[in-house]
Amino acid sequence: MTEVLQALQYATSLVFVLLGLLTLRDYLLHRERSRGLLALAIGCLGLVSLLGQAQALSGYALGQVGQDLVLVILMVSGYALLLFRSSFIRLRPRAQMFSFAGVLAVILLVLVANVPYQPNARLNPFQQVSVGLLVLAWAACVIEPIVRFWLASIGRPAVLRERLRALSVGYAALVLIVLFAGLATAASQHPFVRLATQLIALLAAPLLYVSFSPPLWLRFTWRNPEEVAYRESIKDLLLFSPTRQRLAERALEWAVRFVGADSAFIADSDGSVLAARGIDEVQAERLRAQLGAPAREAMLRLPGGEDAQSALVVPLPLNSGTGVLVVLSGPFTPFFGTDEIGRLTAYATNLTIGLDRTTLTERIAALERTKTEFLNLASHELRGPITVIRGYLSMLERGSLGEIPESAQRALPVLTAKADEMNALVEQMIEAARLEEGRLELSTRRADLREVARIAVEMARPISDSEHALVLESSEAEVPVMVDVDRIATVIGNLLSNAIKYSPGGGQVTCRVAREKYVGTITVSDKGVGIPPDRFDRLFTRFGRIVTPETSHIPGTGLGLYLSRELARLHGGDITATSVLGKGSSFVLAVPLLEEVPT
Amino acid sequence: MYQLQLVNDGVEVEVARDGAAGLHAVQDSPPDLILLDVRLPRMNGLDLLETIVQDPRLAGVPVLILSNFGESDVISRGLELGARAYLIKSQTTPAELSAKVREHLPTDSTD
Repeated sequence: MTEVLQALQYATSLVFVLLGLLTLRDYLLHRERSRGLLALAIGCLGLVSLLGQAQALSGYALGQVGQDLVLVILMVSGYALLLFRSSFIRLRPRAQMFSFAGVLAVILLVLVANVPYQPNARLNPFQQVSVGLLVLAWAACVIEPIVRFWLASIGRPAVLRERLRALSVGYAALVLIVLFAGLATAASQHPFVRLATQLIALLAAPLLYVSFSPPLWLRFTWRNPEEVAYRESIKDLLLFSPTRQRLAERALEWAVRFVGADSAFIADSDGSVLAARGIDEVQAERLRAQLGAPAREAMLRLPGGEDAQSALVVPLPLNSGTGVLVVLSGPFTPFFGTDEIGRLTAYATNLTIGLDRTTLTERIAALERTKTEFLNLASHELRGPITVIRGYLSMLERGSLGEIPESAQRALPVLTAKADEMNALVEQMIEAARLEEGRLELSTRRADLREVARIAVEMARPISDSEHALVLESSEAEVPVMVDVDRIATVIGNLLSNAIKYSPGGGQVTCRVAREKYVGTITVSDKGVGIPPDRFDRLFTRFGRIVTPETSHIPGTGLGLYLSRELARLHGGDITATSVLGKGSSFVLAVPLLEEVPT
Repeated sequence: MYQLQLVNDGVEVEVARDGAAGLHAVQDSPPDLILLDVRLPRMNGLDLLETIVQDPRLAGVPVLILSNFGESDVISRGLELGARAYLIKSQTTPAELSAKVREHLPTDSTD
């Protein structure tokens, strides 16, 4: 039993010395005050344990000095932990002064009391009181941070939360041991109690270790549940969010969650605040001006005396300039771990991409809106004058306005044809505007596609000439469809007029109606200039006119095919095209056949 | 233009420049037929139509709408309110309009 206990004591001392050295290394690597204080706190514990062993092994060679040293170092370790806590959550000056004075007083008291170093010596009442006071003072210095760290862990991101809790629980275990050893001296000498004490101390060591330097595998384990949420948020950033502002707002939600911060804001490249959370925009704007735009991520302490906050500032290298993501700590969320900072920096990269993407899509959407608005405005403004021109032309032709000289009469058909052409273009524009604003309603009825084609071909006759023979080939059987007859006739008319327009050399234009298994089709073929293969993708786009040297003189809005295909699709059908450059093109309009239940 | 055609065809025409003036005119002396546009200053054509059909003195007076507005919801609203026909300007020549007007005029009022 004694050997086991002895071995355990050695192991504990060794572990704490090792722990002290590791914290020291951690401090030397990072050179931060808080890490230095933790190194001091844990290092002192290691030293206490080491000195205790050295005393016992050397037959108390250090005598009274050794004993006093152990007590003083123990007290220093407690006080260092309090200062460690204060480096995150600043103690009020009065509390700081009071604790410092208390620690000093207790140390002096213990030094004066000359606590005996021999293991079985009896303590006189004064010595008992002074040792008791020292243990209480140490416990007070340590218990306050234990509670504070536990409270601070609530609502923090997983890694930080577990680190704070490990520190809290590790120190709680030590407090138990020290309080027990210091206050219940007799009981603490019992072998089983000593065994338990050593085991608890041994268990506390790894807890303390992971609190300041959790190994990577442990971080991953802790973080795992958060990973799913993190990936979701990245997806959010890169795929969704309709507006820039909405994207920024959502990003803040996540950013605050990742680092467990109290408040945060995102400022645009022009300095304006894009979104703010837990802080009002005026304050955010002021802060943004104060912080400037750093070149890389930085932890800054904001001026503000006791309640000073830290700000984690991450630059966002946007296309339009450098914006900034600022995350602010609060009273219970005093600091950010390196893990969180790293993660937030990675998140900021995605945020930058997301913001740039929305800028682009917003710009495109605005452009589309402007186009539609222009289409709407222009078409309606043009419609009035054209109507008047066409009205008077028709009256002139009918002679309602009196006789006109024969020479002038020859101009009338040309004027009428041109005015009608213009009117058709305006109608196309209006139809396109309707379509884009979702106002286009079909008035469908049962019809025979052969009849619709016949109407369209008849309407196209006036624009054809002797060089363009218009041929209609219809199937034998009826082709029943459910369509908006006017609109489908317009679509066919469009295809026919294109066929004529784009065969400047003449040639037959065929309109063939066929009945297939599920669809009725109308194929319009010409022997014209054809479509260059590399321009095919522009064929059905809005304003997507294909202009080549051969076709540049042909008038058109670039709306016809776009509209035709959209109309076909509104009917549940489609338009497809094939073409051989220089040989001609063929357009196929397909609309679903009407399924008639035989009665 | 339309007035010219109608007068040519022997129809007596009185023109009001806005919705409110139109309402006054028809209420002062009920006509044989009312031809309305939809987009009118001071009172739009559909509101005017609603007021006209509720006026007992104007009951039975046929109303035609002639407008550049070709949206299906406006057309169906106009017809629901009691217009006899809805003509779209860009698709109706003055002669066609005149024919339509004469078609709806009470038989005794044409000369």
